[in-house]
Amino acid sequence: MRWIKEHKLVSFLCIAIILAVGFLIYSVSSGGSAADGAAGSVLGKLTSPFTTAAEKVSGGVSGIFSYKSLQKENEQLKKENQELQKKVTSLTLTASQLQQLDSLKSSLNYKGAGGTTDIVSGDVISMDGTNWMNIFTINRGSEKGVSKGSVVVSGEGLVGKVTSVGHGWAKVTSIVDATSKISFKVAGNLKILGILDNTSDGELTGFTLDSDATVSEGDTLITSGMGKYPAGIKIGTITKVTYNSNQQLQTVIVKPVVDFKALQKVSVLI
Amino acid sequence: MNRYWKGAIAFLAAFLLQPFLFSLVPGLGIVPDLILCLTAALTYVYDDNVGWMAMGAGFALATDIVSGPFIGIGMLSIIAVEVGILVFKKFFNVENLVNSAVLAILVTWVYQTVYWIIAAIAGSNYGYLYAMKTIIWQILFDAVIFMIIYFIMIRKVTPHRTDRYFG
Repeated sequence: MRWIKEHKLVSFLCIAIILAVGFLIYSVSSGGSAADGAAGSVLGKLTSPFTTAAEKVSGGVSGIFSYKSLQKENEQLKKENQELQKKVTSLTLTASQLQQLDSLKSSLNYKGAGGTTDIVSGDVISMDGTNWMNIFTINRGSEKGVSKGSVVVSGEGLVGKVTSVGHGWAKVTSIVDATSKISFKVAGNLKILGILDNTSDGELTGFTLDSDATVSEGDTLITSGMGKYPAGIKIGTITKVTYNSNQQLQTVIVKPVVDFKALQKVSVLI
Repeated sequence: MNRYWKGAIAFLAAFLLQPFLFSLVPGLGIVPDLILCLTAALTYVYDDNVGWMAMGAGFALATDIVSGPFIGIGMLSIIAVEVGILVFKKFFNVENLVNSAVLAILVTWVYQTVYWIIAAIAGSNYGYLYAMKTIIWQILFDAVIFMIIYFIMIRKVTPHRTDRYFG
């Protein structure tokens, strides 16, 4: 005890480093979802009123510089845009194709769009401490039925999935930060299937199942419905197509359609 | 009121204001890291800095719990910054403005670099150059906040140093 008092700095550094490393190892080994249950709920509740106030202030400030009617119109257009995107998705995936996918899913015992019925909307209340990662917290949690693994979307497209959840909060990891596989279809030609299985520097990489399939830069990819993501959600646009002759694979690099840093409102599929 | 209590209130305010700032400037994606700025400035300005370092580490841990990808990542990064500041103070004069400006820039760079190293070990797929490309504005924002806190605090600390009984 006396030694600790005489060597405050060394003692603090040792204790703090041991604690931090311990938390880190525990958190990494549990996939970033451990230890933040009760503490996360309390801290989330503490910060949540400030975020709500900020949103009001933010709205007010923008109202000063723009006409209120414009703001209203903007909100309406956003809603319309979301509705139209839903319509586009339902039109691109015709009934017969959905039937085919459903039968394939049931034969493979996949759980996807069929199992998803409810949508919970939430606000982004905080981002991670970096500018390059896209991990954020939303103000909806287990009380609304959000669970670990729930798919998160925005008006633009696929955002990611919930990696940890508590009462009143959920941490969302974007598709470019997670290493999970995403099965895709090309929006212009729904016969072309592929898998996005890697991420690098904010982009997704993957391959088409048919190496002779014709895909080109600018093509939009949507989720196929196989796997954990429901069908028809926009993923991103192809920025590069290459052919790997060693593996005989046509690889694609995809830029996500969602601007993760500009996200304010998201929906969780539960 | 004891200055540690005042400091604790400042840290709490910074912790609560952080998401407020994020919501206030949506779309920008970059806001100053208030906890980092406060920890760095107070550790830099004061000689008895263990208390400030502990507060900084504690609030960094709280931030990790609320929004970090892994618990402890921000805490460990802020400890690295604190140690870096202690080393910097051994060689450079705290009251020199140029030194302080250089440190203001280094603080964010060290923090983000350590953060990136830990994230990379934990499995993050971001290259160092990509990560650093995005922190230029962050450095600028943090440096401004750091210098504001520095200017406020150094005026309170300097009279003690010029006291003939000081030290």
